[in-house]
Amino acid sequence: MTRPGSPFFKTGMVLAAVAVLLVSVCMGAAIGETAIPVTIVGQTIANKVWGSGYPVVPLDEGIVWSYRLSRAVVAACCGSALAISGVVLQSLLRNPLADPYILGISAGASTGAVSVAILGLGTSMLSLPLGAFLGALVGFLLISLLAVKTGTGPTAIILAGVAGSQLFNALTSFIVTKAATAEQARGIMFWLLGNLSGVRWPDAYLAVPATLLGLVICLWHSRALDAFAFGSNSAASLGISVLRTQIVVIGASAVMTATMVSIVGSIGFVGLVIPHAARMLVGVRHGVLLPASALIGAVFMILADICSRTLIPGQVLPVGVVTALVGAPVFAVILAKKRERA
Amino acid sequence: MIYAGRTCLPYIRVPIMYRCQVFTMELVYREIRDLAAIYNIQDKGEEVIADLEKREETARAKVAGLDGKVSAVFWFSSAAQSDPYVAGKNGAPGYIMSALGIKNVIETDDEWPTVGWETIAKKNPTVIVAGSMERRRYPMDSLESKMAFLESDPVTRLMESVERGHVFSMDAQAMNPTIRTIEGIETLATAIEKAGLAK
Repeated sequence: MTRPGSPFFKTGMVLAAVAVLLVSVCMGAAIGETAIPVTIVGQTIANKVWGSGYPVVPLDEGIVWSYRLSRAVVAACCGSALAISGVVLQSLLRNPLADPYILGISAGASTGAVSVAILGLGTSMLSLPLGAFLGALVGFLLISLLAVKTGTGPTAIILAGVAGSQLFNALTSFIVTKAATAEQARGIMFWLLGNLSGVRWPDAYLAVPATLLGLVICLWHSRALDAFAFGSNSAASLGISVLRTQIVVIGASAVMTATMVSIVGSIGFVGLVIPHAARMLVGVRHGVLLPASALIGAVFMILADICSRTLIPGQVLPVGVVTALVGAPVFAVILAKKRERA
Repeated sequence: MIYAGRTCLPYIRVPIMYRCQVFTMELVYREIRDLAAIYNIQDKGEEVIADLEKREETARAKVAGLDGKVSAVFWFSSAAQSDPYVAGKNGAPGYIMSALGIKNVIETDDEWPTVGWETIAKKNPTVIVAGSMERRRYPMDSLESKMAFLESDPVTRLMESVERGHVFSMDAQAMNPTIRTIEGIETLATAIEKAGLAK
């Protein structure tokens, strides 16, 4: 028996995690709206990764590689990024209800997107994701400023987030109501609701580095995050630079979340619930909790996406609907189990 | 023409707009007759109907004998890059296709369901009918963006219909249940004849 903590155990866990992630991504590539045999899926991946040269119908190859696999990769990144952001925000703000959107990111993103599309701050609809990204960052910066001005406690950020989100939502409504082309706004709102349908490889090139960078930065601060469990004063007395940690870690999660919102819109539930589920499974130490949340978030999102494509034959549900529909009961079961054990 | 939800779902109290029967031009003709009766110009009404029926007959004759050899998908628009709104069985495009003997690759009863490109590409429709419209609510409303998408997307550009240039434009008004539906039948019949698919 290998004991938890031994190098063998750790290596084993890492390998298992990578295997689970790969299997999930392959499932994402293998299961879709239409039935494509697993052998063809395997041959396509082999062709693209190792240049094996199996004869595969180009259309099937395109579907598996360009549609499904890119979508699975982005779904994984999105789930990971939201889950990691949720973990660090819940820890730093010491509030179990904190989620990545509490920093005004989705509200800022919608204002940014609406500004680009309706006020013509950009040239075409193509710059809509960029507008959302910039809006998210502006929203986050304003809320951070407000929080710094009002005090340093965790409540300050949450209150600033609530106030800031209201402000940005009001701004969005104002622009939408005032602009003559309110029809356009409805299109934008649809996009902001969260949708993985239009995702292709260029989105993955953006999502993968953002997620990895965010994960590394947060892991780098995992010991500091552990110290925050007893409040920022205790953390300071343990020799941790409180303000620096807060700025770097919250900033990293804000950039991660803003990137995801600009690619797939704001998908709810994942950032709030996955951290709790992970904490129940692996405990509260961030060195383990962060990778575990990233893995669970990634797998959960891929599975949710598979459900969204297969629940109704021939039609696709918004993935946000599935994350809530599937996730909420699962979370309830975990909660109940935990109580039984206690 | 569009029935309240109550008609087909008796347990739903709130009326929702949903077409639960196949659309046919008979419904438009009935409305023309009603309007003509209201204004007491029944003769004019019958004249209009006879003219529309004749136009439909001429268009049918152009592509007689297709008998489901040609299949099609009607693409109205899409929100962003996501799944397109395409014509199901019960709307005006359903009537256009059945009038010309074309098979609709989308088999749901809904009027305008969203269906993924993966499903559409695998169904391999002979022709794609892309809607052109003045509306600019969604990025894919314009015909230009539809064509650009079809030719650049890694999957749709491999579809036979796109490779062979069998993507036809149609005024979106003709895809709605009106007297212009006849115009849609004419447009599609002409396009199919020109492309040499009617032989």
